[in-house]
Amino acid sequence: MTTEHNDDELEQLVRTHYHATVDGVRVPEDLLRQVLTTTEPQRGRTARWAPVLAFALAGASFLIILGSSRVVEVLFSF
Amino acid sequence: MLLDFETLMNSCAHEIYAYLVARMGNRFDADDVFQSTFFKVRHFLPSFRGDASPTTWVMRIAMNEASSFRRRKGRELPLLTPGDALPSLGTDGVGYDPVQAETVQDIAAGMRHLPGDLRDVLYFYYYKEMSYERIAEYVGKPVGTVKSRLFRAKEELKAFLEAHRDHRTQ
Repeated sequence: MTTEHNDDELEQLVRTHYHATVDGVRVPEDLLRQVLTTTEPQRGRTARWAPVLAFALAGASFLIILGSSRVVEVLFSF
Repeated sequence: MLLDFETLMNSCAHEIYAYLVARMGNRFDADDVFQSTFFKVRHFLPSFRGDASPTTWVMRIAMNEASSFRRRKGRELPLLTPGDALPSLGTDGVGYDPVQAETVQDIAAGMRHLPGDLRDVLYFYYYKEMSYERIAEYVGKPVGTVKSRLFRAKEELKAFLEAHRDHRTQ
């Protein structure tokens, strides 16, 4: 086991900071109870279709823009 | 390995919460990450194979959750308002060093500017007083990486303190 704890100023300050911030910190009782009794929030049933829907909408938009432009006209003229 | 969720939670909840308070810099975010950590623990507990100790496993989940939370929010709020980090003044006024108090506030500010991976090693090394090997096990990186992260963290803090000292003396 390797541990090198030097007592220089910075290290002392870091320790002081942590002791001021973390010492005596306990999980609030209501938070503990909440985590023990609540189950993980479920994603909606439709959530899995969101990427498919987004892709379909993007494709449809592209086709509409393409159809309304002169590109199709030019392509079919050949 | 069969583990009861409640037993596991009771065995390490306070340790995880203390880490999250230090890591997130405020209790509001620590509460959120604590919840999401234990939702994940509950979800993945049946697949826990016991490769690491249960506390190490939960701590790793907490570290990942803290990182993703920070990425999602893109910010961290301070736990302590200026002055809260001051060492407490004794009734006789002894034990209070205003110069050190000012610097401790700077340290708190400097911590908030450090990336999460550097903050983690500082916490485990200086507060939990863990060995390099134990920290390496926690963060899932080689011992050399832990040492270099510790070095970088101290360098960045020193630079931050220097900059603040210069700013004050101007």
